[in-house]
Amino acid sequence: MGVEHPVQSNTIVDVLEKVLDKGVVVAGDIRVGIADVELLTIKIRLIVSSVDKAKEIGMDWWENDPYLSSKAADQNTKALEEENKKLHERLEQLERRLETSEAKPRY
Amino acid sequence: MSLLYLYSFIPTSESNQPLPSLKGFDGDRELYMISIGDVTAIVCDVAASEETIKEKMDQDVEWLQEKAFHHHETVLQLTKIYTLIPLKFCTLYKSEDSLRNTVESNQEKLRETFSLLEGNEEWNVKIYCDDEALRKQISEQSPSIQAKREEIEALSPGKKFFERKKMDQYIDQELENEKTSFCEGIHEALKTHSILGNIKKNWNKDVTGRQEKMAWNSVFLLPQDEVEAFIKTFKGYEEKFTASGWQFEASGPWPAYHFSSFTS
Repeated sequence: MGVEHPVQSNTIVDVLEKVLDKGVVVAGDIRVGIADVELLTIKIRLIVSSVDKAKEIGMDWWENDPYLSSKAADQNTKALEEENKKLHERLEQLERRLETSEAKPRY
Repeated sequence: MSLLYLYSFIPTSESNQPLPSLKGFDGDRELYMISIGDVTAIVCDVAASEETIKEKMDQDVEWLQEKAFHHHETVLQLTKIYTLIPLKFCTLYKSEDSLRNTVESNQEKLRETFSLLEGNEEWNVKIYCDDEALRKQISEQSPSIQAKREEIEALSPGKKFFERKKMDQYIDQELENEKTSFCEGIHEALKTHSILGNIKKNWNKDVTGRQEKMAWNSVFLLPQDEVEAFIKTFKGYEEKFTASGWQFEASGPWPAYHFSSFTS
């Protein structure tokens, strides 16, 4: 058919709204319901759209974000603030580097 | 401990079509069939305990994303081969006996669902709207709003403030009315091609990650020979209204998640 499954973030939402929310519910032996499909979709969309990009440029701070990962759930705010500060510095560095490379003449 | 992961049910009459080689839930063991009377279950073994799965589900979003997509992709592939009832993500059984019991006690409902789905496809339509553009249009083109605006101009400054506020609310209301009646019209037209058409919830921008607001979200069960006409109607709307700030999206065929949602 002419219309196919659209790609990327639309697909993520489309898939999750069906797989997590719909489909036949027969009494399995194990009930593993998902409480908040909406919230979960947001989290997953954010992860999928940013992980590779973030890793690519070394910004893997999300691994320590308690909202996105349970690994960091017990870390305190101070550590996060420190992380945030480092991140800002890094971002500045990157921007500076970007500016210098743009300033160079191209051949 | 080993669990049984259930992907979907198919009619046993179609089970002579061989299963393609598909990797199961833990990326290791293959899918296989279990026939229980008229109904055949497509399953795989999972070497995990109930606790591990629950824990992963609650705590590991990346795992969940990967597995949800695995579930979807697997069911989607099977849909191309069989008349299929998709199961909800993570439907697990402790034993084959327990699965048999469940199927036996739902035989009737499963049979009814198969006959509803046979030869039909699920399609999803989403309409998005550029609220700002449409709001501007309404505000500039509605004669009643124009008249009201002139009235307000003649008022004292204090009154003007409150009347303008009221007017903003009125335009917002008009915007919502316009969106609903526009989308309803399209939905009804598309529905004529379908056996069933259901209106779903609109997701907000945080969920969709799009700039435009979702104005309509609906699913249709279409006979296979109506799909082409359905798409033609859909594209007609798309061509006509894209320029005025509407965006249209149709996707399918999906496994019939929305038209096989009975509970046991």
